[in-house]
Amino acid sequence: MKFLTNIAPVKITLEVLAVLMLSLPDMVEAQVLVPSGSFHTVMPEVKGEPVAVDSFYMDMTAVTNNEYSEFLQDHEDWKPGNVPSIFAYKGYLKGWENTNSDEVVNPNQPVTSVSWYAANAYCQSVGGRLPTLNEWEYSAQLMDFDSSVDAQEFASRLMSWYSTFDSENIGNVGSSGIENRHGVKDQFGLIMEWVQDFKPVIANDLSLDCGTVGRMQKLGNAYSYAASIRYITRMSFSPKSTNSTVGFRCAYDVATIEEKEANL
Amino acid sequence: MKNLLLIILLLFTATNLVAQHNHNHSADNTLNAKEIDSEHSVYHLDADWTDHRGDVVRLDDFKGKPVIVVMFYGNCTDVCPILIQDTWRLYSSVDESVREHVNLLAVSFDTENDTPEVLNKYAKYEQLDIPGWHFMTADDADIRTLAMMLGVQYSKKSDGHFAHSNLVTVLDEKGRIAQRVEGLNQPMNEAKATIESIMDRLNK
Amino acid sequence: MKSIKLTFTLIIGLLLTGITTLSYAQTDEYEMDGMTFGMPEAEVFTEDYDGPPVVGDHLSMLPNLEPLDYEGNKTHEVRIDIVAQEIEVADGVKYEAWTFGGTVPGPVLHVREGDRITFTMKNRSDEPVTITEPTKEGSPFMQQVAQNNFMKAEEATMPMPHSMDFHAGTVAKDDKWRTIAPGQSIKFDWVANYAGSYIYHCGTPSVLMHTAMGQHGVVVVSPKDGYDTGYEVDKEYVIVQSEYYLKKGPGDLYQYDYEGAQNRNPSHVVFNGHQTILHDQPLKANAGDRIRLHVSNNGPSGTSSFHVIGGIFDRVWLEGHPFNEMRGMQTVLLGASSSATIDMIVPEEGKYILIDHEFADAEKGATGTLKAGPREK
Repeated sequence: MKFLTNIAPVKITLEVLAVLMLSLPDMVEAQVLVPSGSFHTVMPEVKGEPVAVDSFYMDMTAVTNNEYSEFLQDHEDWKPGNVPSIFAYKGYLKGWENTNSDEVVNPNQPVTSVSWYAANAYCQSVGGRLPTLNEWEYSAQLMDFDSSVDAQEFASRLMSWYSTFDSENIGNVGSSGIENRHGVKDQFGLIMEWVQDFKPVIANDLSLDCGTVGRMQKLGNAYSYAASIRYITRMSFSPKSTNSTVGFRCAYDVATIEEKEANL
Repeated sequence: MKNLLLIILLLFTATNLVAQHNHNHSADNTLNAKEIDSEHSVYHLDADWTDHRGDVVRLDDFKGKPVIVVMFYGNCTDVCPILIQDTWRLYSSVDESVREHVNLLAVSFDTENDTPEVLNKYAKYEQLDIPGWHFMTADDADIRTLAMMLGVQYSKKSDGHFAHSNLVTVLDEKGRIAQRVEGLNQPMNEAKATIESIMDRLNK
Repeated sequence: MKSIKLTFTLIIGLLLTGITTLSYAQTDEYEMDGMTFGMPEAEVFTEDYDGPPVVGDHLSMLPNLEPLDYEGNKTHEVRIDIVAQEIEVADGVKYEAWTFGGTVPGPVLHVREGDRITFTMKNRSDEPVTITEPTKEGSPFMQQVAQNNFMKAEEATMPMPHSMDFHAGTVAKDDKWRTIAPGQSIKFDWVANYAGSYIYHCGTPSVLMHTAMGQHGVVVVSPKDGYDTGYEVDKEYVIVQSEYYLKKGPGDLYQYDYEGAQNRNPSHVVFNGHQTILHDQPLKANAGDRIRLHVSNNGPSGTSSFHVIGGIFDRVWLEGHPFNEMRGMQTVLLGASSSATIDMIVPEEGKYILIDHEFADAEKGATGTLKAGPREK
């Protein structure tokens, strides 16, 4: 199988993988292990040195309207109307007529119009956290294609998606047909997702001007071009932003999952 | 000693002049503090913090009086000492009668290394284990949330160090951002004036 | 407190200060050569505004130019919001565009050299905005769109970060041309220091994509002493050439063709945003008229060899500046973001074709009609 051209070789410790995967009880089957490795990012980096990422667990799909609604039942202070404006713009959960969990509209669609603060609070409440930017991007590019032509075509489709995403018809989680090799679904094709540090370290050097994309897409392929669009879009958000096409998923430290494991 | 002071003064003036005209030049580790909304209170953050004395505190324990907040990490050897020094400079410039009411929160984003015990050592080493100063830690997610509200960016690098913004924030008695001083070695006179005027207002 | 170590670090730190201090430069207003520089810092904020996306007295829909009905200089209060909109750009070709004010190109702003503009822009790409309802508070642009909705504009939602770059403004781009997230607004002042026709466009990367997706328009800055011609102009129009890079999407709508854009291979090259509009609604004049065309090539990438079939350009001011007068040109070469103000005598009754004489462009739609009626005098 050929890979996208910007992936550095991935190291998978099979023993760790086997032990963790086999011992997963039902309650954590919605999270999968993304094993440690490294990758080349579109951000400026030390020449030839890919970014290293430690193993972590990630939600297989984005957090759904249903799951978020359950969170609201236990955390009334996150219901629209109760959230102070320091934590979200007015558009928070716009389109949610009411917040009773038995009346969730589009229950299996990813929740959107949530601010960074809301996403962060949700992940905290389930014992996790938002993924870091590097974790999210690393996981996103761990995809396998049958040929480099297929990989190119996928990257082209990504570019089309960034100019046509439709907040009216998002689709249920899992419906994008896009999955990385560990089973993480829909990192493209449905929504954009919050990460912990969405305005990354070197953001200031990239003064977001006309030349930015040229400087970012030094990897010279459509995937990195699409990645630059994604980085730039994400960097422009405020933590209070409540966009109809931005949602999130949670990540978990390996230690947390192992502990949960051990306590069963 | 006098010579040393003179040299420091000259360097201070020279670099300050240079600093006024420099923008968009950033050392590798320094980030812009982002645009933030100053109309709302950070005390909305519902979390437990542990300070270097081992006490569990909440942010709104400090409400009612002005607060100075700075974010840093202990293993930072080049930039954070200056930032802490700047914060001290602000704190000590405030009139004595006002200063006794001001709390100073120094929050570390390095939860792995900067435990309350380590923070205690740090405070003592910097001779900053004084009443009113609180070196603090909490859960990663809560520290990140506070940073978001203040407009501090930080990111952990692979060598364990952090790339981060340099920001000293003054909160008013309700926990709203009243003044932000971005960068290193910045003049603190406006921030000092803000703190004193908050107290003036409260004393009326 | 002042340990030796700390003092030493302090000295090193002071030296580092020069490279580590960041802030927006704040230059106080000043004059030079009769022009005004040094605008106050832009404000980025959130507002509840849900009124008309285009507000201001001197904003019109192409090819119209709103007359300057005042003497000397004034300060204009202008709002042009960013909205996503589904529009038709050629027969049967519709796509969801990113726009200023709801049309592609956006509204034409007409000001006088030396005027000040207080500009507000809200990024409303995450909310559906209708532009076809006439409103009292909106600008002439809005009335004109309501009466003549040739792009068949329909509301759409596509939240994206955007920014504004007025080529007519002379300001620091990291301050005024800042990118704002959906839901945010920006407000700043700028002074039209130079006469001419200037593009405005979204400066958020990828600028190729944002411009190709529709975010561009024109500001016509009329010279304070006019063009020294000795005659009155009978008709004045604004023409904007631009490219679309579109390919068929999975459904009925078209979508951005990233490869086409990278390879400078547009699907459509048009005048005033629509492949056939200047044929469906030709420009009108009479034999013997002196017409003035403000022509801008907004790109994003192409050049235009602008010519009017049957005519010769009597006077051409490159970039629209009175100092740059050329006489008797058959074709004006306009690079991407270049413009020209062109005076032409309409020789006789009949039809004239506006064209980008680079025929690969013309055949993709870069043509229009000027219909001339009988001599009136």
